[in-house]
Amino acid sequence: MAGRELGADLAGAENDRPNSASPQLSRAAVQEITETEKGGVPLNTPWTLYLDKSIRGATAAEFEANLRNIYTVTTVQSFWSVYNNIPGISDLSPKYSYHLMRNSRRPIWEDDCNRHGGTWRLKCLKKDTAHVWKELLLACIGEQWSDSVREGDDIVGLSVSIKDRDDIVQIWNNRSDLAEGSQATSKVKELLPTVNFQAEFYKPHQTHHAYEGHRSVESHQGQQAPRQFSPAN
Amino acid sequence: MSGKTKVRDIPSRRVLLTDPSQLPIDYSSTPGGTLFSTTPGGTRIIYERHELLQLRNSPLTRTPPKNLPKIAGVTSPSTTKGSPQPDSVNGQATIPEEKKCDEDPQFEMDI
Repeated sequence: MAGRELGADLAGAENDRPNSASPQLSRAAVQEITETEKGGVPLNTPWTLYLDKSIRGATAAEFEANLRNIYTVTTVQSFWSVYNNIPGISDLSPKYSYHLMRNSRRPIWEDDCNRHGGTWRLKCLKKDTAHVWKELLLACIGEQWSDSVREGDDIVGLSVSIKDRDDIVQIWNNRSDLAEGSQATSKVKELLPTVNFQAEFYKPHQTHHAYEGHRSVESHQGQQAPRQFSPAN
Repeated sequence: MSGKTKVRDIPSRRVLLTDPSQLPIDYSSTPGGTLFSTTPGGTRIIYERHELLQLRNSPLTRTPPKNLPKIAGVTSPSTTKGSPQPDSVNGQATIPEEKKCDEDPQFEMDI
């Protein structure tokens, strides 16, 4: 039995069929493509990781100026390559936040793509934050939310903010009008059955006291970063 | 008058991959063979937690991307924190849910 190949059996059973139904690329060609792509397993969409340090009372422009684009990941490997090589949550100082945003979306409420969205805000104990962040990151890049949001809505970002006491994790969606009736927080509990969140609620971006309306959106437009794959600005 | 839109679930199935080589080489296909362009509503590439974790220690992930910007204290870490948990959890895709809280190594700085 040793070394016996299932493929051989199949070929025997179906004589008229060549070795497989795979695309007609030669092994060498496949190898070449694989090498070109560096073996990366593609994500459904690119995701961009940002870092910021919050300043009390900052305007959108100040926030924007402080926002650092860490990297845009497009494959599972590039995600880990970044995750494995930046400080973990427990190494971040208070006031710092990481944001993972879909495509080249920025974690700025006033940006056009975000204006109609909001976040589910989850307050979690420090002992849970790293675990919550990692599991929710995987849920995002693995597209595990699809069945948990209402039709027409989408999960478009994830933020973690380190605070002096409890930390805040936020899940960004596209449309605040579709937040009600969404299963997003149920999904969080399914993903993190052992975690007790201290508080959770949904907040549309536009209801934030500091929300600046359309003004800053226009000022952003001119200097919008290249759509994606830009490592930094 | 638009009547109520009838909502139907897009049929889906989960395909288990154990190795990146099982992925379709054509990126317009999803694992298991559905075609983006022909599936109603589009098909998302969905990965389960353990599939993602399996790739956590693949060679490409040991080092940061070459063009990762230098951010002092962030992408050029200044401290190495000893993790109470060894890095051995990586690749163990089958960690029971209940244990996750305890096993989670906040972060590995050993690379």
